[in-house]
Order: sequence, then C-alpha cells, then structure tokens
Amino acid sequence: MYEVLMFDGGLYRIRDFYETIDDLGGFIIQENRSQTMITVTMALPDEERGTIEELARQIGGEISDIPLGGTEIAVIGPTLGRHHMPHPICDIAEYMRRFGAITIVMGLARGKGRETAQISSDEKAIINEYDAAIFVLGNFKDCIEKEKSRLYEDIEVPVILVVGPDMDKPDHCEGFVSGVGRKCERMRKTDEIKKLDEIADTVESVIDQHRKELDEDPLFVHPAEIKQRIESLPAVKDNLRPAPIVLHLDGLRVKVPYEDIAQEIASIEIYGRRLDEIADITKSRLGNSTLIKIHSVARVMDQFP
Amino acid sequence: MRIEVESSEGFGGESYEGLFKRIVQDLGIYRNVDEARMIMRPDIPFFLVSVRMRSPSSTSSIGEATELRDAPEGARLTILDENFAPAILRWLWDAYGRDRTDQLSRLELVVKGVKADELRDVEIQSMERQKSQLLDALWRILPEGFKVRHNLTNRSTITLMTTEACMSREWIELAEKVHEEMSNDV
Repeated sequence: MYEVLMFDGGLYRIRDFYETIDDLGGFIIQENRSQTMITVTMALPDEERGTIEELARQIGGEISDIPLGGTEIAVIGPTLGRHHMPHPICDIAEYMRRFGAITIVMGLARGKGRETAQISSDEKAIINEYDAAIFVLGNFKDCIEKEKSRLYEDIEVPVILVVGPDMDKPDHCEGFVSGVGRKCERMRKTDEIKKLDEIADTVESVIDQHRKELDEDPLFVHPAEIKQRIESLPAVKDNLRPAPIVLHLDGLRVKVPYEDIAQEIASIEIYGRRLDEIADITKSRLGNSTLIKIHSVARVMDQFP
Repeated sequence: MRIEVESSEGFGGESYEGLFKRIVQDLGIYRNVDEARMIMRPDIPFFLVSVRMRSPSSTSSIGEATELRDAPEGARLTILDENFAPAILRWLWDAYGRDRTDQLSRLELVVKGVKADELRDVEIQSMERQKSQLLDALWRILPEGFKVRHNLTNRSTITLMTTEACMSREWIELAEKVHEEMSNDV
C-alpha cells in the first residue's frame, strides 16, 4: 500500500533524493520550491518509509505524515451566504489542507431553510466526483435530524457530518462531529482548534477505511503513476492553473478541458494497456476538467484477459 | 446589554445568544442595544427577535448636548453629556478639519473661525442611523431560509417574527405581546 509523505528540507542532494524515491517505486506528487528550501509531497510503498527517512536525515531534511495527501475533499454548506461562510466552512476547508488534502468549498443553490432545503441532482453529481464530502450544518437538532438527511443521503462518496448540537450520529454518514454549528468569527480558540483536530481525525479515519476498501480490490495502477505519465503533455505543462493534476484515491482530476486532452491521454500506454482500457475518462461537471477513474485489477483482467 | 433567549433546544439558544453578541460587537452597536429577546422554535418553525435600542437621550443637537458660546477665536463648546463626545468630535473633524478643532480638555472644544449659532442646530446622533445598523445585525442573525416575516417597530424597539411556513395569527399575537413588553420595559 502506498503512503503519502512530505519531505521538508533544502535543495542539497535533492537529485539523489528524487532518484531514491524512483528506485523505491515511489512517485513525486508535488514539489514547492522557495529559494533554497523545498517541500516535496510523495507517494511511497509503506515498507520503504525507513529508507527514505534515513536519507532525509542525512541531507538535513525531515519526513512527516500527511494523512489526507492524495485526496480531494468537498466542504459543503447549505448556501454561500454569510450565515455559513467564511466561518466555519472555510476554516474547516483550510484546516484539512494542513493535513494534505486538496479542498473545495461549495454552497448549495437551494440549501437554505428547514423544510425548504434541497439539493439538486447536478450538485450531487459534482459532490460524487470527490473522495469525501464534509457537510457543515447548523445549530438545531430537530432540524438536522428531521429535515437535513435528504441533503446527503444519496451521496455516493463518504460523508462526514459536522453539526452544532450534541446528538447521536445520524444514518447515511460515515463520520460525525458535533459542537461546531453557526459561527461568525474565525475558529481560533483552543477548544475550536481541538474541534478542527477532531474533524481532521474523523475525516482521516473515514478516508483510511475507504483506502482499505479499495485495497481489497486494488487499482490496476496507482493514480500517481498516471500523473507521472501525463504531466509532461503540453496541454498539462502549459496549464497555468495551480496544481493542474489533483490525485484522488481512485483516480485523478486533470484541470484541462475534456475536449482538449481526452484523446491524447486515452492512448497513453501503461503496463501494455491503453489508459482508456484501464480507466474511465470522463468530462468533469466542474468547469474545464477531466476525470480519470482507474479500474481495479480484477475488472481490467475480466474485460481484457 | 441584557439578552433573554427562549429556545426549545439548549445548544441552539446558547449559540444564538453568542452570535447576537458577536454580530452587534462587529457592527460597533453593542452599546446602542439596551435589551434583546429571542424566541426560537425550530420544531414549529419560527424565530422571533425583539431588540430595544438605548435612546441617545432626548437631546440630539449640538446646542442641546453642549454648552455653546462665542469666544474670540471661534465657537467654544463644553460637552454636557459625555456619551455625545465621540459623535460631536467626529462631526466637527469632518466639517471643519482637525486643524480648526482644538480639544482643550476631555469635554472642552474650540472650533476656530466658527460662530456658535452655526453649530447650535446640528443633529449629532439620530435614531435612524442606529435603526439601520440594527436591522443589518438582525438580517445577519435571522435563520437564512425564514423569508416570511412580520415586522413591528416604534421609536426604540424593533421586533421581527420570521418563519418559512405560513404566518399564523397566534405568532403575530406573540410578536405583538413581546413588542409591547419590550417597548414598555424601560
């Protein structure tokens, strides 16, 4: 199983470091250079962690865990109104980034109110493109228990529910955190930071569970391997969007319009097979992106023995 | 500021009390709110909020809030009610600039080259401004989907009864009762 780690150090012997990652069967997910310092996010087989830690120590850097690395998570509020944004929704999204996740913030078009709150099928389809969805709801138990489950009950990806009142975990959600609710200031007090940690721990355990489920029927190829193959394509290389390729647990989001890149990436060969044989390549619902969902080994062997 | 909250749920009530305090602080009108009462019943559902503003007293012009006389260098003001001091200073700075407004002591001011009569009728604090700031605070605190509203207002008190269902006579009567109690409870 691959583990996502972060190296924080200097440029000294960074080429050796990259070569070692390659030799160990790992991949670079992202690198950020700032003058003579560098931060590298990488995916590495978990049994090789000791080797890379030893090398990092020798070159004066350090390795740390980023438990949500390689995931893209949606943080969803009932609306984009100032009743919900920027606090606490953006606070939660920002905090998840510290654990390595790429997060987006989303407000529902018709999510306001108690009995009138709705979610559209388009919104559900957008949410289903992510690895997990954090729904941030309000202050009243009665409202959340009786009226809000329809917002997330049909979501196919794991749902983490963050609410205000202390209550039992409702159905249709994999993770649950209470004690947040509506806020009109930044979550920066000690107890609020503890709450953000609790949310991060909950998301981490839900993602871990999802990773284990994926490992039961492993993917034909790790998403980072596909990333490595397509990041040199001109359409990706010349893309000015930050992080043009985002890893998912079971695929990738390439921030290039489907029409511009689909054919080119479909013909890439990986382990003797075309990419469109081992993955679904589809247009993302979220503007100008292409989604790649990798098939499991069993599915590929079944379809193309 | 006194806040009274009636809620069918403990967490919701406490949370909205905190939100109300924080919002009026953010808008800088904490001192203008004398009393607030909120009744919230998410199970029905309705949300009532009634707020009584602290009156800026009966005086509302510089002539009434200060002892005003002509001096050789200009108009000389002695502020009688310190609550008005920031508003008077702000108005004088805006109108004549800081160069012409000398603050001799905490309550003593001289405005150079100005006749006392010019200042006498200047209104320095108005309830309308307070009301619009307070309404801003109330729109922020009200649950977002509760678009059916019944408003009651008089010189010092604003009461809003809101729901997302059809407004009932019973709730309107409750709003009127709370509004009357708040208006009389000075």
